[in-house]
Amino acid sequence: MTVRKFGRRWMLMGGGAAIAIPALPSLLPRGHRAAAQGIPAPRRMVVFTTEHGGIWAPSMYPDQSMASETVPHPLHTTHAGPLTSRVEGGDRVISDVLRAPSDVLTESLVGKMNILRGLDVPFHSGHARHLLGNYGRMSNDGDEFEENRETADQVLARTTLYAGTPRRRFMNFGSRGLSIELIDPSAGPAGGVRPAEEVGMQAIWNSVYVDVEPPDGSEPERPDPINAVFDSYQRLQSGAFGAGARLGAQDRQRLNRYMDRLNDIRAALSSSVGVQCSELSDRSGLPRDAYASMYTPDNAIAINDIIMAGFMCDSSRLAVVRVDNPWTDAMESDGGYHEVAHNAASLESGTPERLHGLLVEGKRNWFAQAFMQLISRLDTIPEGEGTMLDNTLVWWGQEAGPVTHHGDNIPIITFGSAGGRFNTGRYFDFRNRDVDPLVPMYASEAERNSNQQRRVGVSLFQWTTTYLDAFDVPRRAWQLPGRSAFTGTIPLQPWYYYQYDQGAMDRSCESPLPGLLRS
Amino acid sequence: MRRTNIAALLVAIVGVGACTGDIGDPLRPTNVGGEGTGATIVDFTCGDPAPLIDAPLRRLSRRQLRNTVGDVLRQLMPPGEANGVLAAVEGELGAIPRDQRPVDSEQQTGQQAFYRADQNVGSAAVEAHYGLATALGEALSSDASLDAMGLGCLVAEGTSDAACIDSLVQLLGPVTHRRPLGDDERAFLRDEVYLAGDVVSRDDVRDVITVLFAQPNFLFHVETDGELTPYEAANRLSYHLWDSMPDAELWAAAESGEVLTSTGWEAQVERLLASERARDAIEGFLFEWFRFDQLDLPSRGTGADYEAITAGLEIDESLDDAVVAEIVDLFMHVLRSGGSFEDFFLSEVTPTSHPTLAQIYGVAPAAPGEVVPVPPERRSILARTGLLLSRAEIALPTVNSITHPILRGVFIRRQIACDLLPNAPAGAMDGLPTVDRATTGSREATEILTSAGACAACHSAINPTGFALEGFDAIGQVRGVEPLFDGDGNVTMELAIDDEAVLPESALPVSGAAALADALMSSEKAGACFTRHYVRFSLGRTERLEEDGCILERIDDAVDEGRPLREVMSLVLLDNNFRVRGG
Repeated sequence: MTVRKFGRRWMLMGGGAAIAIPALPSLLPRGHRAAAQGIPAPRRMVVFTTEHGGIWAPSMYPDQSMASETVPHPLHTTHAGPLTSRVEGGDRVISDVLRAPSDVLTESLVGKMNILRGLDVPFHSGHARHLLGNYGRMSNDGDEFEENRETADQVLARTTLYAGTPRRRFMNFGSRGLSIELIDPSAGPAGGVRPAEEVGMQAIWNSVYVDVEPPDGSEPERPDPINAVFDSYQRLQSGAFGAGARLGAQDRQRLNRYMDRLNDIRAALSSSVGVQCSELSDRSGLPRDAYASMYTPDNAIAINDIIMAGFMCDSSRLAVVRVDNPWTDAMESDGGYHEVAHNAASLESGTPERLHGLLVEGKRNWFAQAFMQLISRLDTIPEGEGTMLDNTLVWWGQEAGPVTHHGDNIPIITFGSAGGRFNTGRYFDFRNRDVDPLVPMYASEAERNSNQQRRVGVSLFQWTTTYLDAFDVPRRAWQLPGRSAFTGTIPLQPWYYYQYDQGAMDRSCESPLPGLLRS
Repeated sequence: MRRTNIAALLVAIVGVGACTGDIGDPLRPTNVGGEGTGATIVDFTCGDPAPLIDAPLRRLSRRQLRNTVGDVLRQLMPPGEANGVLAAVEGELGAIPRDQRPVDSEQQTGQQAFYRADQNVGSAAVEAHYGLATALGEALSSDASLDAMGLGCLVAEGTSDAACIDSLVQLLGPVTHRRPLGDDERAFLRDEVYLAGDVVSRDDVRDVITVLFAQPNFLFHVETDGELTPYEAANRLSYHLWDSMPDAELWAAAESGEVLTSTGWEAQVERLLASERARDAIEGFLFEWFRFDQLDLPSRGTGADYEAITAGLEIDESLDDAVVAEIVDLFMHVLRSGGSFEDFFLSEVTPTSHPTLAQIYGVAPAAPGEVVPVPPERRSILARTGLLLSRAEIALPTVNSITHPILRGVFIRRQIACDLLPNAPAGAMDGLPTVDRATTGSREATEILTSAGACAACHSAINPTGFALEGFDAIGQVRGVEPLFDGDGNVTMELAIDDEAVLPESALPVSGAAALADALMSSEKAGACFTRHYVRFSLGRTERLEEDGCILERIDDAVDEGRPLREVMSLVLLDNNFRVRGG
């Protein structure tokens, strides 16, 4: 694996040939400028999740003194404060990981950023894909990849994110069980769930890119054959093709589901196109296989291109990206990402500091070269009173906290305000600073000695409440009977290193995290 | 000092290793309704009367769709042109979402149904199907394609007449519906799609092709209630054995109705099974049964110790494919040579022509289509690299010198014996003792890590199964000692191999893969497990012990009696239930 360094031009221009020019206001065609100012801006969400976690607190966060204001919370007193940065050499630095060239991570962008610290999964989570609310059998390591409910991103896509039928409801880049969708949206949860379908990058591009070149008008517009396809399903289902086409009730039900999806495509084909779409040119040659490791450094920028295209054409307003790449070559001699992440938390490795250093290097590379590339590009697109970034919530979550397999202190980094719903430029520390640090059994000696900052926090699923509230998703669309939090009840095992008050954690999820949403 | 691999071993334990609670005697062989909760079933019972097999509308699997597109094209035009069109739509074929192994809550992890049981059609699938149909519409409406299909009358823009496009429908309709079109269907295409007038445009041609490939009869196995029609029967047979549409001979048998007669059906079963094309579907069956998607790839090794154990071997990614191909080729060899399941399971030959795999086995590469004898310790498929490195759950990211008796044991217990192993409890790896792998061999390390408390119950069966395979190193080479390495790949210690194991199936201890395989075969577990997987594969859903008891019993009995594999595999097809639609 070769990790590429990207220059500033790369950061602003897009990685591939897709985006011909940065869409600055002065460069937009006159009509598009007017349209851009006249249409209410859509809101969007992008979620990145990186594997394993394992970044020790001093490398992930600014010092806790930056969050010096006290913020009340039902569970305990929490803290917050303005997020600040410093410039070292050519970099702007917030922490070892949150560091990028200062002309990319600008002071202005720090003002559009939030750091959330002290968010805990209040039960054993292992390798579970829990970040979006899939807590399938989390209490049992053997089934950690199973799914048991529609995840929050899918709830959002199904409820308030779109007014009509989008061309692509959801851009899924290798989520592998992170995102769970309803099998049959019309049947609701009773119809069952499954990991959100994955297709190759080219297929996603093809569905979000719209060629907006106007027809020359010489020929009457031809109806899309999809209408005839829909009719053929309908006729088969109704028996119009004669006695030879009698179908059982179950068969009709299956055809019904297929027709529902087909109808979505029909509707999407007639939906409006975002005004920025004309700035794009078509591209080919993107990976077609959804199942190889999608998030290579080369693909990362192409994935950003696709997300940008989806947003600029308004063909999609949601992306979930699973980053399964270490973003450094230096781990290979130590057995790769998986081995390093586990051994950085293990006394057995003998060198946890060195291995942890590799994890930090990888996360820092990814943050500076891929994550910030998308942030920068979103912030160059004017939209409404601000930029596309302002109307978007981009957040990065990790699979685990400072120790891989452990769901406490999972860092959440956000950019954008989802159309002004979030306060930004803040550092939130939701840990209870008044209790003893957690000293879990897997923490390395180095971690125990140098990082006494791992304290019990508040529920990670209060973050779910927060962003679903920000997007005005009604509680009835996602709350389970008798529960405030997005999750169901996962009993705590007596051996678990911290005995959370699960009832209180759950009740606290009735409200969004304090201080994040604008009233 | 080398210690880093302990983490991988621990992860393995968390994933599959331990179990707790009252699990009775789950590994004891029994029959359906026998005593003991969760005991492994080795005999099945046919109910009275035998119910029809429930077979609701199924869609084509990803593999079937790909094969069918290729076969349609090859039936329409010469191979060169067909391959050109296939290449043009390769991207759209690749965009079809991969089928997932449906999880049945009644089945334990590792014993899911097969990919062809996936009947979900989400937005991405429908979108991809339509994208494929559109691409085929574009590609097949080109001048070259129309000429290649003998439809030159459609090439000259503006001069084509309705009769010409009717010819197109005549040609494409049957292959995309996999049966002759009815008058009402032809009328629909004419009235709703190409609106036949005096002049037919190229857009009409493209759209009618698109609709033919996007309509439900192409993407689903549409069948009527009651007895199957000859075409439906031919399709069932063909999709089961070839994962694709009927060929001309089977089509002719459907046309004449001969396929519905006993002799006609049997003749077609025999012909299709004997065909080289059967390999594709059988490969699909074996690939999923043996979880080759979860193979620890032998070429993906890291570390100086891996370099040390593979010194002298030329290893590249072709070895990863070869270890799978060996098992598939072996199965085909036994099938074609009239051998039984036992001949396959306890095989004494290898068909591998891969030089490195042959070197690992200590044999000369076999000539194509031939087999060569393997050394006695290599007898049985359990002693082949493919099965030694396959995992019941998640493959390890990299291979090194360390063997994993737990992973090997769980794979055999779950996939080969169909034993019910409860999942590991949460926190199974918490508080485990530290093991220094610089001085501790795999067997001893496994015993230290799993001997305590709750772990012991299941590991008393899992571990010995894996220990019996300790005579094979991490890439399946026979080894006389277990070497331990320092970080530079130097051997620091050599431990004697102890592959003696006490198994639930055998009163006496066994040693080695061949003895382990003998025990599983004679306990009837291996045969019953094959039966369950094959029936599951055939029906496209999880088997139901009561409802499917007759087919299960018939096949299992045939396996136990040592009947030829071809006969065993034909049984499900020759069963009257396979030819009648239930549900």
